Amino acid sequence: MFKSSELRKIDENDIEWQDILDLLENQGIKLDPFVDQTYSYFEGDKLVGTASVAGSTIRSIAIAKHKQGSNTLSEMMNDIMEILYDSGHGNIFIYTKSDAVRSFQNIGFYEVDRAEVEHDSVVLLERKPDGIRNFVKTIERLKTGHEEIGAIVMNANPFTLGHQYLIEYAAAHCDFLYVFVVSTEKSVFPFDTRMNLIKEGTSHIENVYVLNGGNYIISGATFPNYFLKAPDSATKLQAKLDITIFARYFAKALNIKKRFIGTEPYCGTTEIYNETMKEVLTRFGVEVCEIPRKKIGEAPISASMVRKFIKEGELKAAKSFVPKTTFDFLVSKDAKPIIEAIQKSDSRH
Amino acid sequence: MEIVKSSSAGTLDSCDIQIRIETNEIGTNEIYLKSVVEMQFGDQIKSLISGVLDKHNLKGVTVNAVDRGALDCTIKARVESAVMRALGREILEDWSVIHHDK
Repeated sequence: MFKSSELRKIDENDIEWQDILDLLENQGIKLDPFVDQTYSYFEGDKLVGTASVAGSTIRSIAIAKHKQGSNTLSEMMNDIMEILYDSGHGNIFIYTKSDAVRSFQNIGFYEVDRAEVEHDSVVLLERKPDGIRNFVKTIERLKTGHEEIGAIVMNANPFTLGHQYLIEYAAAHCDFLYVFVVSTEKSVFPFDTRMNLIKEGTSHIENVYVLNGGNYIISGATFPNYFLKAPDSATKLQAKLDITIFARYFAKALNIKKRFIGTEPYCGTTEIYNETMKEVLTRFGVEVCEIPRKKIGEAPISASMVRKFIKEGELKAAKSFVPKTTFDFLVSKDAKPIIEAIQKSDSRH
Repeated sequence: MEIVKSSSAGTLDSCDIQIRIETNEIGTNEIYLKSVVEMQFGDQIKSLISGVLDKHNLKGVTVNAVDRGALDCTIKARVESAVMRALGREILEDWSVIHHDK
Protein backbone atom coordinates (compact mmCIF):
# COMPACT_ATOMS: atom_id res chain seq x y z
CA MET A 1 0.00 0.00 0.00
CA PHE A 2 1.28 3.50 -0.80
CA LYS A 3 2.05 5.39 2.34
CA SER A 4 2.09 9.17 2.06
CA SER A 5 2.77 9.83 5.73
CA GLU A 6 6.22 10.40 7.07
CA LEU A 7 8.02 10.86 10.37
CA ARG A 8 10.74 13.52 10.31
CA LYS A 9 13.29 14.67 12.82
CA ILE A 10 12.88 18.33 13.64
CA ASP A 11 14.63 20.97 15.73
CA GLU A 12 14.32 24.67 16.46
CA ASN A 13 16.16 25.60 13.25
CA ASP A 14 13.48 24.11 11.02
CA ILE A 15 10.85 26.39 9.53
CA GLU A 16 8.11 24.09 10.84
CA TRP A 17 9.31 24.43 14.45
CA GLN A 18 6.77 27.11 15.31
CA ASP A 19 3.98 24.89 13.89
CA ILE A 20 5.04 22.14 16.28
CA LEU A 21 4.92 24.51 19.25
CA ASP A 22 1.47 25.76 18.13
CA LEU A 23 0.18 22.22 17.73
CA LEU A 24 1.27 21.36 21.26
CA GLU A 25 0.00 24.59 22.75
CA ASN A 26 -3.43 24.20 21.15
CA GLN A 27 -3.85 21.07 23.20
CA GLY A 28 -2.45 22.43 26.43
CA ILE A 29 0.75 20.41 26.21
CA LYS A 30 4.19 21.78 26.96
CA LEU A 31 7.22 20.69 25.02
CA ASP A 32 9.37 18.87 27.51
CA PRO A 33 12.62 20.84 27.82
CA PHE A 34 14.84 17.79 28.11
CA VAL A 35 14.05 15.60 25.14
CA ASP A 36 16.69 13.93 23.00
CA GLN A 37 14.78 14.33 19.74
CA THR A 38 11.51 15.85 18.57
CA TYR A 39 9.65 14.35 15.61
CA SER A 40 7.05 15.80 13.30
CA TYR A 41 4.54 13.63 11.50
CA PHE A 42 3.37 14.65 8.07
CA GLU A 43 0.57 13.34 5.89
CA GLY A 44 1.39 14.63 2.44
CA ASP A 45 2.65 18.12 3.16
CA LYS A 46 0.36 18.67 6.18
CA LEU A 47 1.71 18.54 9.72
CA VAL A 48 -0.66 16.21 11.61
CA GLY A 49 1.28 15.22 14.71
CA THR A 50 4.34 15.51 16.90
CA ALA A 51 6.07 13.51 19.59
CA SER A 52 9.42 13.65 21.35
CA VAL A 53 11.72 11.02 22.71
CA ALA A 54 13.86 11.09 25.86
CA GLY A 55 15.74 7.88 26.63
CA SER A 56 13.14 5.13 26.47
CA THR A 57 10.19 7.48 27.01
CA ILE A 58 7.90 9.15 24.48
CA ARG A 59 6.55 12.49 25.60
CA SER A 60 4.90 15.74 24.47
CA ILE A 61 2.64 13.87 22.07
CA ALA A 62 0.00 15.76 20.09
CA ILE A 63 -2.21 15.02 17.09
CA ALA A 64 -3.90 17.77 15.05
CA LYS A 65 -7.55 18.27 16.04
CA HIS A 66 -9.04 17.14 12.73
CA LYS A 67 -7.01 13.91 12.85
CA GLN A 68 -7.96 12.87 16.36
CA GLY A 69 -9.93 9.66 16.44
CA SER A 70 -8.40 8.54 13.15
CA ASN A 71 -5.51 6.12 12.78
CA THR A 72 -2.93 8.93 12.73
CA LEU A 73 -1.85 8.52 16.35
CA SER A 74 -1.34 4.78 15.91
CA GLU A 75 0.66 5.21 12.72
CA MET A 76 2.91 7.86 14.21
CA MET A 77 3.45 5.87 17.41
CA ASN A 78 4.17 2.77 15.38
CA ASP A 79 7.04 4.55 13.61
CA ILE A 80 8.45 6.02 16.82
CA MET A 81 8.28 2.71 18.68
CA GLU A 82 10.14 1.09 15.81
CA ILE A 83 12.95 3.65 16.19
CA LEU A 84 13.15 3.04 19.95
CA TYR A 85 13.05 -0.76 19.69
CA ASP A 86 15.66 -0.70 16.91
CA SER A 87 18.00 1.42 19.00
CA GLY A 88 17.93 -1.27 21.68
CA HIS A 89 15.34 -0.12 24.23
CA GLY A 90 13.61 -3.19 25.66
CA ASN A 91 10.70 -1.29 27.13
CA ILE A 92 9.02 1.97 26.11
CA PHE A 93 7.36 4.41 28.49
CA ILE A 94 4.75 7.12 28.03
CA TYR A 95 4.17 9.84 30.53
CA THR A 96 0.75 11.40 30.03
CA LYS A 97 -2.37 12.94 31.52
CA SER A 98 -5.15 10.63 32.64
CA ASP A 99 -7.62 11.64 29.90
CA ALA A 100 -5.22 10.40 27.20
CA VAL A 101 -4.61 6.98 28.75
CA ARG A 102 -7.28 5.18 26.74
CA SER A 103 -5.72 6.05 23.36
CA PHE A 104 -2.40 4.59 24.41
CA GLN A 105 -3.92 1.48 25.96
CA ASN A 106 -5.56 0.82 22.61
CA ILE A 107 -2.13 0.57 20.99
CA GLY A 108 -0.74 -1.86 23.52
CA PHE A 109 0.52 0.27 26.42
CA TYR A 110 -0.19 -0.79 29.99
CA GLU A 111 -0.53 1.37 33.08
CA VAL A 112 2.24 1.22 35.69
CA ASP A 113 0.79 3.72 38.13
CA ARG A 114 -0.70 7.18 38.42
CA ALA A 115 -0.58 10.19 40.73
CA GLU A 116 -2.71 13.27 41.34
CA VAL A 117 -1.88 16.65 42.81
CA GLU A 118 -4.86 18.97 43.09
CA HIS A 119 -6.42 19.00 39.58
CA ASP A 120 -3.39 17.70 37.81
CA SER A 121 -2.85 14.06 37.10
CA VAL A 122 -0.12 12.01 35.54
CA VAL A 123 -0.03 8.40 34.40
CA LEU A 124 2.98 6.28 33.54
CA LEU A 125 2.39 3.64 30.87
CA GLU A 126 4.79 1.00 29.61
CA ARG A 127 4.85 -1.19 26.52
CA LYS A 128 5.83 -4.40 28.33
CA PRO A 129 2.46 -5.70 29.48
CA ASP A 130 3.88 -7.00 32.76
CA GLY A 131 7.10 -4.95 32.92
CA ILE A 132 6.86 -3.70 36.47
CA ARG A 133 5.60 -7.03 37.83
CA ASN A 134 8.42 -8.88 36.09
CA PHE A 135 10.97 -6.48 37.49
CA VAL A 136 9.52 -6.93 40.97
CA LYS A 137 9.76 -10.71 40.52
CA THR A 138 13.48 -10.43 39.83
CA ILE A 139 14.12 -8.38 42.95
CA GLU A 140 11.81 -10.55 45.08
CA ARG A 141 14.48 -13.23 44.89
CA LEU A 142 16.64 -10.95 47.03
CA LYS A 143 14.08 -10.84 49.82
CA THR A 144 15.51 -11.58 53.24
CA GLY A 145 13.88 -12.86 56.40
CA HIS A 146 14.91 -9.87 58.49
CA GLU A 147 12.43 -7.94 60.61
CA GLU A 148 13.28 -4.27 60.17
CA ILE A 149 14.23 -3.70 56.56
CA GLY A 150 15.38 -0.33 55.29
CA ALA A 151 16.04 1.22 51.90
CA ILE A 152 17.97 4.12 50.44
CA VAL A 153 17.82 5.39 46.88
CA MET A 154 20.89 7.25 45.71
CA ASN A 155 22.47 8.58 42.58
CA ALA A 156 25.93 9.01 44.19
CA ASN A 157 27.46 11.16 41.51
CA PRO A 158 30.08 10.37 42.86
CA PHE A 159 29.98 8.45 46.17
CA THR A 160 31.05 10.76 49.05
CA LEU A 161 31.65 10.44 52.78
CA GLY A 162 28.13 11.85 53.14
CA HIS A 163 26.65 8.87 51.27
CA GLN A 164 28.85 6.51 53.26
CA TYR A 165 27.71 8.08 56.53
CA LEU A 166 24.04 7.82 55.50
CA ILE A 167 24.45 4.13 54.65
CA GLU A 168 26.39 3.39 57.85
CA TYR A 169 23.78 5.20 59.93
CA ALA A 170 20.87 3.47 58.21
CA ALA A 171 22.48 0.03 58.37
CA ALA A 172 22.94 0.51 62.12
CA HIS A 173 19.28 1.44 62.50
CA CYS A 174 17.71 -1.52 60.73
CA ASP A 175 18.43 -5.24 60.34
CA PHE A 176 19.00 -5.18 56.60
CA LEU A 177 19.44 -2.35 54.12
CA TYR A 178 18.85 -2.20 50.36
CA VAL A 179 20.64 0.55 48.47
CA PHE A 180 18.99 1.24 45.11
CA VAL A 181 21.23 3.00 42.60
CA VAL A 182 19.61 5.38 40.11
CA SER A 183 20.20 3.72 36.75
CA THR A 184 19.37 6.54 34.33
CA GLU A 185 22.47 7.71 32.49
CA LYS A 186 21.95 11.44 32.94
CA SER A 187 24.79 11.92 35.40
CA VAL A 188 28.39 12.65 34.57
CA PHE A 189 29.55 9.52 36.41
CA PRO A 190 28.18 6.54 34.49
CA PHE A 191 25.94 4.01 36.21
CA ASP A 192 28.54 1.23 36.46
CA THR A 193 31.05 3.57 38.07
CA ARG A 194 28.54 4.96 40.55
CA MET A 195 27.41 1.44 41.47
CA ASN A 196 30.99 0.17 41.90
CA LEU A 197 32.04 3.10 44.06
CA ILE A 198 29.06 2.49 46.35
CA LYS A 199 29.88 -1.22 46.60
CA GLU A 200 33.56 -0.55 47.32
CA GLY A 201 32.77 2.20 49.82
CA THR A 202 30.33 0.00 51.75
CA SER A 203 32.13 -3.35 51.58
CA HIS A 204 32.91 -3.05 55.33
CA ILE A 205 29.19 -3.06 56.21
CA GLU A 206 27.69 -6.53 56.34
CA ASN A 207 23.93 -6.00 56.22
CA VAL A 208 23.87 -3.89 53.05
CA TYR A 209 22.90 -4.97 49.55
CA VAL A 210 23.52 -2.60 46.63
CA LEU A 211 21.26 -3.05 43.61
CA ASN A 212 20.23 -1.46 40.33
CA GLY A 213 17.14 0.75 40.72
CA GLY A 214 16.16 -0.05 37.12
CA ASN A 215 13.52 1.80 35.16
CA TYR A 216 11.14 2.29 38.02
CA ILE A 217 13.04 4.20 40.74
CA ILE A 218 13.96 7.85 40.04
CA SER A 219 14.45 7.11 36.38
CA GLY A 220 13.97 9.12 33.24
CA ALA A 221 10.59 7.35 33.11
CA THR A 222 9.26 7.79 36.63
CA PHE A 223 10.84 11.11 37.58
CA PRO A 224 12.31 12.98 34.60
CA ASN A 225 12.47 16.32 36.45
CA TYR A 226 15.00 14.89 38.88
CA PHE A 227 17.56 15.56 36.20
CA LEU A 228 16.51 19.17 35.63
CA LYS A 229 18.28 22.06 37.31
CA ALA A 230 15.33 23.77 38.90
CA PRO A 231 12.03 22.32 40.11
CA ASP A 232 8.88 23.33 38.21
CA SER A 233 5.16 22.77 38.56
CA ALA A 234 5.42 19.15 37.44
CA THR A 235 8.09 18.19 39.94
CA LYS A 236 5.72 17.38 42.80
CA LEU A 237 3.47 15.35 40.55
CA GLN A 238 6.39 13.31 39.24
CA ALA A 239 7.82 12.86 42.73
CA LYS A 240 4.46 11.55 43.90
CA LEU A 241 4.29 9.06 41.05
CA ASP A 242 7.84 7.84 41.65
CA ILE A 243 7.30 7.37 45.38
CA THR A 244 3.92 5.70 44.91
CA ILE A 245 5.58 3.13 42.63
CA PHE A 246 8.31 2.60 45.21
CA ALA A 247 5.74 2.01 47.95
CA ARG A 248 3.29 -0.11 45.99
CA TYR A 249 5.82 -2.41 44.31
CA PHE A 250 9.26 -2.23 45.91
CA ALA A 251 8.44 -1.72 49.59
CA LYS A 252 5.82 -4.45 49.36
CA ALA A 253 8.04 -6.97 47.53
CA LEU A 254 11.00 -6.58 49.86
CA ASN A 255 9.06 -5.84 53.05
CA ILE A 256 10.75 -2.45 53.40
CA LYS A 257 9.68 -0.62 56.56
CA LYS A 258 11.94 2.42 56.53
CA ARG A 259 13.30 4.69 53.85
CA PHE A 260 16.32 6.75 54.82
CA ILE A 261 17.08 10.15 53.28
CA GLY A 262 19.63 12.86 53.93
CA THR A 263 18.42 16.40 54.67
CA GLU A 264 18.62 18.55 51.57
CA PRO A 265 20.17 21.96 52.02
CA TYR A 266 21.17 22.56 48.38
CA CYS A 267 18.82 21.18 45.79
CA GLY A 268 15.23 22.39 45.37
CA THR A 269 14.19 19.35 43.34
CA THR A 270 15.41 16.87 45.94
CA GLU A 271 13.81 18.96 48.67
CA ILE A 272 10.38 18.67 47.03
CA TYR A 273 11.02 14.97 46.51
CA ASN A 274 11.79 14.45 50.19
CA GLU A 275 8.74 16.44 51.33
CA THR A 276 6.45 14.45 49.03
CA MET A 277 7.99 11.22 50.27
CA LYS A 278 6.93 11.91 53.85
CA GLU A 279 3.36 12.51 52.64
CA VAL A 280 3.09 9.37 50.50
CA LEU A 281 5.12 6.71 52.32
CA THR A 282 3.43 7.23 55.66
CA ARG A 283 0.15 6.24 54.00
CA PHE A 284 1.73 2.96 52.89
CA GLY A 285 3.11 2.23 56.36
CA VAL A 286 6.72 3.00 55.48
CA GLU A 287 8.58 5.25 57.88
CA VAL A 288 10.72 8.08 56.47
CA CYS A 289 13.89 8.68 58.46
CA GLU A 290 15.59 11.97 57.61
CA ILE A 291 19.22 12.06 58.69
CA PRO A 292 21.12 15.35 59.03
CA ARG A 293 23.94 15.53 56.54
CA LYS A 294 27.45 14.79 57.65
CA LYS A 295 29.49 17.98 57.79
CA ILE A 296 33.15 18.68 57.46
CA GLY A 297 33.67 21.80 59.51
CA GLU A 298 30.65 23.96 58.63
CA ALA A 299 29.99 22.54 55.19
CA PRO A 300 27.52 19.67 54.66
CA ILE A 301 29.09 17.16 52.26
CA SER A 302 27.49 16.83 48.87
CA ALA A 303 28.39 15.24 45.57
CA SER A 304 27.79 18.54 43.76
CA MET A 305 30.48 20.11 45.93
CA VAL A 306 32.90 17.35 44.99
CA ARG A 307 32.09 17.91 41.32
CA LYS A 308 32.70 21.64 41.84
CA PHE A 309 36.19 20.94 43.17
CA ILE A 310 36.84 18.69 40.20
CA LYS A 311 35.58 21.37 37.84
CA GLU A 312 37.92 23.91 39.33
CA GLY A 313 40.79 21.47 38.99
CA GLU A 314 41.24 21.09 42.74
CA LEU A 315 41.09 17.36 43.06
CA LYS A 316 43.11 17.53 46.29
CA ALA A 317 40.40 19.62 47.95
CA ALA A 318 37.88 16.90 47.16
CA LYS A 319 39.97 14.33 49.01
CA SER A 320 38.58 15.11 52.47
CA PHE A 321 34.99 14.75 51.21
CA VAL A 322 35.16 11.27 49.65
CA PRO A 323 36.11 7.80 50.91
CA LYS A 324 39.54 6.48 49.91
CA THR A 325 37.89 4.14 47.39
CA THR A 326 36.30 7.06 45.53
CA PHE A 327 39.47 9.16 45.66
CA ASP A 328 41.54 6.29 44.30
CA PHE A 329 39.14 6.11 41.40
CA LEU A 330 39.23 9.87 40.78
CA VAL A 331 43.01 9.84 40.40
CA SER A 332 42.97 6.69 38.25
CA LYS A 333 43.23 6.53 34.48
CA ASP A 334 39.57 5.45 34.17
CA ALA A 335 38.38 8.74 35.67
CA LYS A 336 40.10 10.92 33.07
CA PRO A 337 37.20 11.19 30.58
CA ILE A 338 34.73 11.86 33.41
CA ILE A 339 36.87 14.62 34.88
CA GLU A 340 37.25 16.21 31.47
CA ALA A 341 33.47 16.08 31.00
CA ILE A 342 32.88 17.80 34.35
CA GLN A 343 35.33 20.55 33.51
CA LYS A 344 33.50 21.22 30.26
CA SER A 345 29.89 21.03 31.42
CA ASP A 346 27.69 23.26 33.56
CA SER A 347 24.72 20.99 34.26
CA ARG A 348 23.29 20.08 37.64
CA HIS A 349 24.29 16.43 37.24
CA MET B 1 13.06 -23.33 22.17
CA GLU B 2 14.70 -20.30 23.74
CA ILE B 3 14.26 -16.90 22.19
CA VAL B 4 17.49 -14.93 21.81
CA LYS B 5 16.05 -11.43 21.60
CA SER B 6 12.87 -9.39 21.79
CA SER B 7 11.25 -8.87 18.44
CA SER B 8 8.40 -7.15 16.61
CA ALA B 9 6.42 -7.78 13.45
CA GLY B 10 3.47 -6.06 11.82
CA THR B 11 2.15 -2.53 12.04
CA LEU B 12 -0.71 -0.60 13.60
CA ASP B 13 -2.28 -0.01 10.17
CA SER B 14 -5.84 -1.04 9.49
CA CYS B 15 -6.29 -4.78 8.73
CA ASP B 16 -2.90 -5.60 10.25
CA ILE B 17 -1.75 -6.85 13.65
CA GLN B 18 1.34 -5.74 15.53
CA ILE B 19 3.18 -8.40 17.50
CA ARG B 20 5.88 -7.84 20.10
CA ILE B 21 7.56 -10.87 21.68
CA GLU B 22 9.63 -10.74 24.87
CA THR B 23 10.79 -13.18 27.53
CA ASN B 24 9.14 -13.11 30.93
CA GLU B 25 10.01 -14.32 34.41
CA ILE B 26 6.96 -16.52 34.79
CA GLY B 27 8.01 -19.50 32.68
CA THR B 28 4.67 -19.84 30.90
CA ASN B 29 3.40 -18.02 27.83
CA GLU B 30 1.28 -14.94 28.31
CA ILE B 31 -0.72 -13.28 25.54
CA TYR B 32 -1.95 -9.72 25.91
CA LEU B 33 -4.33 -8.59 23.23
CA LYS B 34 -5.85 -5.26 22.30
CA SER B 35 -8.25 -5.56 19.40
CA VAL B 36 -10.99 -3.55 17.76
CA VAL B 37 -12.91 -6.83 17.53
CA GLU B 38 -11.90 -8.21 20.91
CA MET B 39 -15.49 -8.96 21.94
CA GLN B 40 -16.17 -10.96 18.81
CA PHE B 41 -12.84 -12.61 18.03
CA GLY B 42 -10.58 -12.11 21.06
CA ASP B 43 -10.40 -15.80 22.00
CA GLN B 44 -9.93 -16.88 18.41
CA ILE B 45 -7.01 -14.47 17.89
CA LYS B 46 -5.35 -15.57 21.13
CA SER B 47 -5.62 -19.22 20.23
CA LEU B 48 -4.09 -18.55 16.80
CA ILE B 49 -1.16 -16.80 18.48
CA SER B 50 -0.62 -19.50 21.07
CA GLY B 51 -0.85 -22.13 18.31
CA VAL B 52 2.20 -20.63 16.60
CA LEU B 53 4.10 -20.36 19.91
CA ASP B 54 3.34 -24.02 20.70
CA LYS B 55 4.44 -25.13 17.24
CA HIS B 56 7.89 -23.69 18.01
CA ASN B 57 7.85 -25.09 21.54
CA LEU B 58 8.25 -21.63 23.08
CA LYS B 59 7.87 -21.23 26.83
CA GLY B 60 8.15 -18.17 29.05
CA VAL B 61 7.37 -15.55 26.43
CA THR B 62 5.02 -12.60 26.65
CA VAL B 63 3.23 -11.52 23.49
CA ASN B 64 1.90 -7.99 23.24
CA ALA B 65 -0.54 -8.04 20.32
CA VAL B 66 -2.40 -5.03 18.96
CA ASP B 67 -4.92 -6.10 16.36
CA ARG B 68 -6.50 -3.79 13.82
CA GLY B 69 -8.88 -6.28 12.29
CA ALA B 70 -6.33 -8.62 10.70
CA LEU B 71 -7.42 -11.82 8.95
CA ASP B 72 -6.36 -15.18 10.40
CA CYS B 73 -3.67 -15.70 7.77
CA THR B 74 -2.19 -12.27 8.54
CA ILE B 75 -2.19 -13.01 12.25
CA LYS B 76 -0.37 -16.30 11.77
CA ALA B 77 2.14 -14.77 9.39
CA ARG B 78 2.92 -11.85 11.71
CA VAL B 79 3.38 -14.10 14.75
CA GLU B 80 5.51 -16.46 12.68
CA SER B 81 7.77 -13.56 11.57
CA ALA B 82 8.10 -12.25 15.11
CA VAL B 83 8.99 -15.73 16.42
CA MET B 84 11.60 -16.24 13.69
CA ARG B 85 13.17 -12.87 14.51
CA ALA B 86 13.09 -13.68 18.23
CA LEU B 87 14.88 -16.95 17.50
CA GLY B 88 17.42 -15.13 15.32
CA ARG B 89 16.51 -17.30 12.33
CA GLU B 90 14.79 -14.84 10.02
CA ILE B 91 17.19 -15.37 7.15
CA LEU B 92 17.69 -19.13 7.30
CA GLU B 93 14.18 -20.51 6.95
CA ASP B 94 12.39 -21.51 3.80
CA TRP B 95 9.28 -19.42 4.28
CA SER B 96 7.12 -21.24 1.77
CA VAL B 97 7.47 -24.42 3.79
CA ILE B 98 6.57 -22.76 7.07
CA HIS B 99 3.25 -21.50 5.81
CA HIS B 100 2.10 -24.78 4.39
CA ASP B 101 2.72 -27.03 7.36
CA LYS B 102 0.12 -27.79 9.99
